[in-house]
Amino acid sequence: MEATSQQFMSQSYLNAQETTTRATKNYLTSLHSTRKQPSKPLKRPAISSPLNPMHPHVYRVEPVNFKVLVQRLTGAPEHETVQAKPLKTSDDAAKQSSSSFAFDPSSSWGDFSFQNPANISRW
Amino acid sequence: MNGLVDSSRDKKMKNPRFSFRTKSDADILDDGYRWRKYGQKSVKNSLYPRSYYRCTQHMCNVKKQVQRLSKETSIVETTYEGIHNHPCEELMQTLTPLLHQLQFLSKFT
Repeated sequence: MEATSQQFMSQSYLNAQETTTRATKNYLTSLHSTRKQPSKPLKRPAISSPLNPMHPHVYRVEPVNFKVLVQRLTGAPEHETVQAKPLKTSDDAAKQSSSSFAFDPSSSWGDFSFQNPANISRW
Repeated sequence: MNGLVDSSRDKKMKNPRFSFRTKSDADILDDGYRWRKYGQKSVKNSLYPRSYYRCTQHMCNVKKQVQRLSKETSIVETTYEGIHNHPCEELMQTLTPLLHQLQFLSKFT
């Protein structure tokens, strides 16, 4: 009776020892192993937007209206176009000579807003 | 690397694209701008190649693609990418003599 129980004990002990050694081996190998990157990168879902470059807005145009429509849609906005500066007339020159101090709104400092010292925040 | 891909995608998304289909015998239609051809590519299942043009104006990144449709050979499809940051050439051609005249007259005032 005792012999059989002892045999079972030794068997279970050996099994337990084997599992522990296997676990430590696996742990050590996992420490030394290198992580392989996936061969193909994950594909992101396509972004659906009104300005999708793959599907531009299609216009059916007559050759006569082609230039006008192209310039309207792809041309520079009005505020960005080159504008000629207004030239000084003789009246302006007379005004400037008459007054000792002429305030020119087109000058670089003309648009400077004079601030109240109370409003200026300290550093 | 991935960041570069994202930025290029964003850049593409920012540029608006407009496509025009016009019945024309000539492939190149006058739109008032000057273009430089920088490429041509044969398209699958099409007899006609696709031409690639870029705006000649300095610092203007507008591009256009011109291709004749294979199904309807009388129609030319012109696709524009981006918006010009300058007035069109024809407008400048008409304005320059006027500007010269004004500059000349300003000497006498």
